[in-house]
This record gives sequence, C-alpha cells and structure tokens, in this order.
Amino acid sequence: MIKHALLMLALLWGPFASADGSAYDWFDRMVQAAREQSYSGILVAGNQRHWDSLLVQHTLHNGAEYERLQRLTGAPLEQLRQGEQVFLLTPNNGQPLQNPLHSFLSGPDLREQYELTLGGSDRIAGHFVRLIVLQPKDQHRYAMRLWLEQKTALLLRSELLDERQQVLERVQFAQLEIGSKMPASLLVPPAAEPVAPAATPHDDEVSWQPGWLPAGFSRLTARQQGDDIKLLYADGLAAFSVFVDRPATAIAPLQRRWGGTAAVVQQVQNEAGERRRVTVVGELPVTTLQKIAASVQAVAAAAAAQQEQP
Amino acid sequence: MNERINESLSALMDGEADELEVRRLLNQLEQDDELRATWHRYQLLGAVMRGEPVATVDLSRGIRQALDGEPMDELGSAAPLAAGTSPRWRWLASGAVAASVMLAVLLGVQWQQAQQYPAGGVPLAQQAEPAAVVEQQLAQNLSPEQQAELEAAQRKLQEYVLQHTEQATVAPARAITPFARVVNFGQEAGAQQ
Repeated sequence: MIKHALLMLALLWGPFASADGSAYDWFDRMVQAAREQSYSGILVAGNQRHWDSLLVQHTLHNGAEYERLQRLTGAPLEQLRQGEQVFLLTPNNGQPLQNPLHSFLSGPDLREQYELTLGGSDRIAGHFVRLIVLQPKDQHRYAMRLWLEQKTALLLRSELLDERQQVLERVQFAQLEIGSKMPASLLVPPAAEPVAPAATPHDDEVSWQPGWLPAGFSRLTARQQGDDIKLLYADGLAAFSVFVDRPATAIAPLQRRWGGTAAVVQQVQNEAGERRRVTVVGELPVTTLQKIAASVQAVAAAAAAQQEQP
Repeated sequence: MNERINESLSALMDGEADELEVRRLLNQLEQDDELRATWHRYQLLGAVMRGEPVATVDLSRGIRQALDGEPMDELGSAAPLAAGTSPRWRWLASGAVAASVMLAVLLGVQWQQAQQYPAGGVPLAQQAEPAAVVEQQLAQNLSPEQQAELEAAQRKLQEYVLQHTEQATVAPARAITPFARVVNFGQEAGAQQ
C-alpha cells in the first residue's frame, strides 16, 4: 500500500519536477530541446516595419540534426541542413538562413551578464508555454523574453526588448506540431552541392581595436588586411562587429537602428594624426555601440594606457 | 493675370470647372510661368488644408491624361525619395530597411556638418538631431561629388551590416541575429547586384 502510494507520488511528482525548476534549468532545457526535438511549424518573425514567415521542420536522425527552412514571404528560398552540411534547394547567391529560434547556446557568460527569472504561463500556437525573462545586469545590452513549451521546453516565441521594454524584434510560431518527423526523402543528401562551410575564424594581430568593451564580451574573430580590420565580439547572447578602415575623405558620424540591429559610424585618430573610420554594428543599444566606437584606438596607444593603469 | 483665370483655377482646384475650361487652363498653364506659380500655390494650399503631405507631384499632367483617357501615372510614386533617385537612395528609401528615410536625413544633415570641419579635425560623436527637415531637399542640395561620397558611405555601411550578420550567425558566435533583417538585407542587396 505504502509502496503504491510512493509510486503514485513519484508519478504525480515527476511531471511537476520537470516542469518546475529554475529559469536557468529552463534555459538549458531549451538549448537541448532545440537540438533534440522533432517539430514542424510556421514561424513568423519581424519588427515594427517588416514581417516574414518561414516553414520550419526539424528532426534528430542518427545523432545528426536535420532542418528544412522554407521562406514563405518575399523571394523564395528553401534550404536543407543535414548535420554540418547545408544545401540550398532554390537558386540563391545569398547566405544560408539561420533558424531564429535555434541560435542559443548555454554557457557561463550568459549567467554572469543576465538575470534569468521565470514568468507566467500562456498559450502560443496551441501549446501551453512558460515565460522566462533574461534581464541584463547592466545597461549595455538588451533584455529578452522567451516562451518555452511546458513539456519539451521548445522555444515558441522570443522578444528582444530595449531599455524602455519596447519590443524591437519578435519571432513566434503561428502553428506548430511537436513530434512530427521529417519525410524520409529529406533525410538523404539532395542533388545540390552543399554550401561551402564558413571559414575558420581568424585571430590576427590588429593595429586598431576598442579600448573598452561591455563586461562579458570576448573576441571571437580578428582579421586585418592592409588597413581594413574586422573584429567580432559576443557575450553568449548578443554580438557586435567592429570595422576599421582608412576613409578617403572626412567621415561624418552616423547612427542607425533597424529593429534590434544598430550601427554607429565615427572617425577616430591616433597621436600621429592618422584618421580611421570606425563602424560598429550589433544587436546592442546605440549608446553601447557609441561607447565602443569612441574607445577604438591604435593598439600601441592601448598598450601604453594599460601599463599606466595596472 | 486676370481675375477670370484666377477664378477658373480656383474652380479647377475645387473640381468644379467643366472640361473645356480645364483644357483651356492647362494650355495656359503650360505657357504662363506666373499662372503656373499660382497653380502650385493653390495646390499646396489645398493639400495643406486637406491635411495631405505637401510633397505633391504636378497634378496637371494627371488631369490631362484623365481628360485624354490615357492611363494615369501612379500618383503613389510621389513618395519623396523613391522617385527619380539613384538605386542607392532607393535602397535606403525602401520600406524593408526600416526608417531608412531617417538615415537619408541623418546622412544628409551630418554629411553637411562634416564638410565644415577643418581638414584633419576630428568630429566628436554627436547625438543625431531629430530631423524636422524635408529629406528630399537635403539630397538634392548635395553636389554630384557630395552625392557620390554619400552613396559610397551608404554602400560601405550596408556591406558592413551584411558582414556582421554573416559572421555573427555562424559558430562560434551563434549569436541572436534578428531574422527579419537578415532576410531583408539579403534580398535588398541581392536586388542591387
């Protein structure tokens, strides 16, 4: 009898235990679910000015991820990802699409820079969901809200929010079937040639770089060709690129924002009077990008400054 | 200019002139600079009173086409930057690149400011002013060389934004990149090539 009661308790407790847990647990389960779950649905993504919809199919087959993305708005585009290989099934000279709900990584950086809290429940695309909020611990990055399916922790909706909690970008499933397998025809390599894999990141010595970075950002690639410098930084969630080049004429400072992405262009010079155009592009507040751009200096100067301030 | 023509113009603007009167007026408009100026004033006045955007096109052509039974030009093309501008301006003015008209304004304003800096001077980062300026005028006031430099700067920025998107979406970054923009920029850039 007691044995039965314990079994009942365990059975009852089981689903609650997995459905509860901390926001961090939910986040980790989400990253795992994005890789392991099979699903098929219609995704709607956009900002205040523009919306796109996308058919998404995903499955894990023999330990490899298979994903089909088909753009349903604008120019037709269909692509198939089989493990590490990407095939474009429609003529396209652009870059492959990235599943916008599939690009999170769980890492220690994230936990240092963002406070994760559990929010309420809701219903999206016919599924019950749990909200988790990623609030940055400083003012240098944006907040995010993520809605995860109650049982599988699949991400069904995400919002990028500015400092006034205004939504800059939103991605959401309009319809979703969880557990649906991809047709077998998509699990065999298509006739098309796979897209060339992305080049391995460079780690060049560069002559100009930012003297200030928001906490938690680390450099992922550094490339210098002549006077042209290209740097990429990320904090586990957001990323920004710094471009330095030698302008032909005087450069006017400029700042622009498109949904969640912003760009800042400004001119800097070193002690010898050499001028450079600095362009910082990223999914960060304009004020952060400005601060980064303004801090860009010749590396010799940066080293000297560091020696002065041990 | 006589009173009668003025009255006729007024009637035309109010849609009360008969067809013969309209044809006569349009012919006169073509030959008479002063009359044409009055016509534009009337048009502007009417637009303002009706709460319409003031950047109107010349309606007289459309009216004549309508009278002659020709297909009308699309009046919607009166959108300030999209009409009669270079492809680069078009890229900026297209709805896909959000609020791009503002970019044109900012580039225009700040580009002109940059011209005032002494050679070798370093402009400080400045807050973009809310631009209550008519963007088309700014674009038009630039000399061809300035226009070319402005376009080159815009091309460069577009290229950098695309490069950022490209390198931020692949491992090891795999950062969140707004999906809609990725799609739009790809499309827009593709259309220009």
